[in-house]
Amino acid sequence: MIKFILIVNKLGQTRLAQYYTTGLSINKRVALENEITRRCLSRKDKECSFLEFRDLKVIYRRYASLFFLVGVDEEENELGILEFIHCLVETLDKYFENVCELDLMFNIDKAYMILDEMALNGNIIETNKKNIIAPLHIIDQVSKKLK
Amino acid sequence: MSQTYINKLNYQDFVNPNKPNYITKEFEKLIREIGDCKSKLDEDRLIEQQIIKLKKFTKKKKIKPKQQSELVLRLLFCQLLGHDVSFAHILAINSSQESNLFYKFIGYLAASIFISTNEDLQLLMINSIQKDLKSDNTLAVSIALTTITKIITVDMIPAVLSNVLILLKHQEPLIRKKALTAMYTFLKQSPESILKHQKDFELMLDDKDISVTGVALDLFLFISKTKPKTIKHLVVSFVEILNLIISGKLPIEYDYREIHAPWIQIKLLKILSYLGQDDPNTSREIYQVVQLVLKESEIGFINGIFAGHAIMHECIKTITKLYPSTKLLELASIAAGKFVTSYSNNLKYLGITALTDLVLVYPEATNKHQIIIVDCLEDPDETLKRKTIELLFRITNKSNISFIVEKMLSYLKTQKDQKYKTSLVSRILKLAEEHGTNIKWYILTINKILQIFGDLVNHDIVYNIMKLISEGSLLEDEEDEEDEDDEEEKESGKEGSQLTKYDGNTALKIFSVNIYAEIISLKKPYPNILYQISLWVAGEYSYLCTNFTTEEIMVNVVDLINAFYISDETRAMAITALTKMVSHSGKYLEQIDTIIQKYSTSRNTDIRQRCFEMKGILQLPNIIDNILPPDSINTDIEIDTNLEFLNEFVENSLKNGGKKYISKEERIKMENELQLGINENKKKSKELRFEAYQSNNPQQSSTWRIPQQNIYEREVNNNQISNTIEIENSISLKVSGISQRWTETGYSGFKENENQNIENKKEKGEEKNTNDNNQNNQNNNNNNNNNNQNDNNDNNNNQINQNNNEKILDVKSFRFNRIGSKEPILEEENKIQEKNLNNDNNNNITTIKQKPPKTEEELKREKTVNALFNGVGSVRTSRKKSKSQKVNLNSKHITKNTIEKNNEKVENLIDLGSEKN
Repeated sequence: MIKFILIVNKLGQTRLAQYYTTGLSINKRVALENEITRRCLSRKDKECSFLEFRDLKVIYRRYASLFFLVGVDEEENELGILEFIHCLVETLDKYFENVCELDLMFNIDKAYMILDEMALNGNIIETNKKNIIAPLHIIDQVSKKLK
Repeated sequence: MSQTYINKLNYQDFVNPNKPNYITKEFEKLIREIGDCKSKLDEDRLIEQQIIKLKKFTKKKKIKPKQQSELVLRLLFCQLLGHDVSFAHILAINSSQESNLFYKFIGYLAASIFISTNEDLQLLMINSIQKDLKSDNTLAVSIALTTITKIITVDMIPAVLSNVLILLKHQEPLIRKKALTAMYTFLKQSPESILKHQKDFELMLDDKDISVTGVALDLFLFISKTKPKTIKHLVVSFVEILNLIISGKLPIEYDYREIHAPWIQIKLLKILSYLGQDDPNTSREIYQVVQLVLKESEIGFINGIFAGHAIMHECIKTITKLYPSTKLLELASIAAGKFVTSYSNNLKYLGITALTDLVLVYPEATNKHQIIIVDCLEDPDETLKRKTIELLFRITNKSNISFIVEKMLSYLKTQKDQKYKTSLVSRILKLAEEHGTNIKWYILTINKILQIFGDLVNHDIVYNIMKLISEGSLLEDEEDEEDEDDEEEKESGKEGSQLTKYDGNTALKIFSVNIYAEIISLKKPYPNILYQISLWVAGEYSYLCTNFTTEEIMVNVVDLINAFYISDETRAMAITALTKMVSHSGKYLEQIDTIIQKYSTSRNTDIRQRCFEMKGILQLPNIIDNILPPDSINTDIEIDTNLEFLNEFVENSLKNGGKKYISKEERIKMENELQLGINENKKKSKELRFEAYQSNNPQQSSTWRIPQQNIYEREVNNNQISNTIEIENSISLKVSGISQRWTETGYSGFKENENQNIENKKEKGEEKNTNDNNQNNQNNNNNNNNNNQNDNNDNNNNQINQNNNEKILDVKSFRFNRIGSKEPILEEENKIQEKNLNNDNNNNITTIKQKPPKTEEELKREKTVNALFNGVGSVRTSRKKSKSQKVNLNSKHITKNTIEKNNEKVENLIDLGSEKN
């Protein structure tokens, strides 16, 4: 099960955070993010993309200046998650057409929506990009009509 | 592939982002500023400013929907960056209630993120969610369902459950899918109530849209973990779906890098592994499909696609969990081998993880890959190394233990995490203990570990080693050693044959003493724990050492004692070791004198103690062997728990009138009885004390009281009289009297006594009875003085003490009786006698005068005060000496009769008193 999905930049600043567990206060959340980000950023390219942290396994992948970090429990398939991250990036890229950090910031609502279409309750629910993006286009149409 | 994204992302950063049309200038400014922040500090400052601005907005009563949604997005950013924005959560709620789909979407999104910190929001949202679930707009329903998965709690399930169940049959796959995710949330929160609807989502397995099936699998995965028996009948369906997927019959959109729906495959494999666990029948149904999936995924493996690896890894995990099938286990170990031998650290890591599980059911799995596994320890990747260590712990056996421990130790040296190191050291020690077959190797390994990590080691190891050396044997085939490998036996047999003239145990001792003597001779700052073992071994078995003479070892130990790097504890052990060596060898070094001299003044009491011990023992060459016999660690020391050798002494003491020992139980019993008495005493004493202490003038007080007071006076007077002659020169009696005079109530005056004594004449009848008690009082009082003279009068004193103890009880009970006694009969003789006495002897009388029955507390205090002020008391009495002598003279003729009644003990006591004088 996925515990959280985190997108941070290379300076360790959070760009997107989605938690699938409840009961985490803001302070604890920030502390957790800082600690995990610090550890992931300090790792070298050749080292494996997994990090064991307390009772969590953190799977991370770097895309230019952005790090995608996914915290999972013991039984989750690490490579499955690693590929899921890639699938997520591909989907973002497909929707934003050459996605960049600022895209995610200006369109944080859309980024969250993509994530919600792909994973809920800590489970991967959809990886078909067509299906993921379809509802987003509807929202886009609605928002374009706004005055 | 990811490389291309890296490039794209690099060039696109901050150049030309997709800017939605609804973004305001202010929002854009905020985003740009956040993007420009170079540190967390800048960012925090920026967000704090932003929050101040946002607070102003939230105070406005009317905010347009557009502005509201924009504010909500800004709030979202603030929360994302770790700031509390609970002041404006209501904006998100308001936004979710807008009719425009976009505003609604923003509102729900923000609310579902804020909700983690503010549970009150849930109640505010439930209404709009209920409304939206019934909406005609598919997207509105979808958004509402998404929100449900994030905010729902057990209490809220009934409010939305019926709606969600209807939506399971919605025509749009998107809604069916989302409704299932909502069901999953309910299932997790309250499994019992949702399992009733299991039939509803069983149907979803056959949904024409594979995405919907995929989400339904999540529910079944959850059930398979908690209640696998309820869905065993579905195994066929799961296998069918899996077959369908790998046969490539799904729409091409579900393919990911030529692998068909890898995540759904993973889910299915997980479910099957839970269902087949510990169930041979179900497992057999699953074997074939797993084998097929494994084979299919290998195609992906060749192409170097991770998705294929993911499935393969899942297959290995499944095979490990299923009821064991040798064929599949072999396939799994081959697959794991491919992972381990891969170029990628990710795959290596997973290979090691897979093998760690696999070896538990299939120990042969690692046979081919041991070298590669061990090589992983040299990889710079810490995650990989830690995983490898875990695997190594599992695959260690008697044949590879020495190799693995060596590798582990070299890995440990590179570790910096102290906590991890400590746990690892103890695990390695355990490993060596479990699998070590060769004692020599074990001792050497432990020494090696202690040399480097001695500070991290639990001290139990010291005793293990000591026990091993003193009891172990090098000739393992000779003794009752169990399940040794043939090779090992041969090996140890060889070792034994070199030392044929000794038995195995002695050989071991020689071996270890040589090693440890060498460690001492190295004089390196090793951890104390290693030196402690070394010193003990050297101390015990120095005479067996073949590489060093005892003198050499002794010189080394002396040097070690003077070394700065050992602790006081070790130093103390070194001194004892030295004592043992001197004792065993009979050889003496001059340096030892210096050591004794130097450390006899040590600040450490243990060292000092041991120095004096050594000094003392060395001065007794005749018995030195008895004190420290060689090789005595295993000889049990006979302990005479009854202390029989003291019997004679005890008998003598009893003969001389000593009191018999009272066991603890008896004493407790006695104390309890006493307590009872005192409690009753207390009740009565309360009223008595009140009266007695209040008035100094008996004439003014009520009549009934007077006799009672008189009783005490009389007792005291008699007492006084009876003893005065014998103790003419005795200070003891007077002392206690004087010290008692200063009681809680202050000075008990003369007048009172005088008056009271006149009244005392009335009482007569109980005079005889009181004699004994008076004596007791006297004993009691005297005792305190006698304590000072105990040295000379051991026997007497014992007797007296014991008597006193006994009689304190009597005194109490006596007093108690007195209170209730009837008014005494007047007798003329005593009247005159007492009058004389009282006139001259006011002081003494008052002092010995008994108060009304004393409480336990009083008694205690009295005892302590007497004991404490013995010295003071005697000084005081000496001043009064002249006066008391007068009294004695006066009372001489009067109390002759009474004196005769005194028993021997009192005479003894008095003798003591006179001796003192």
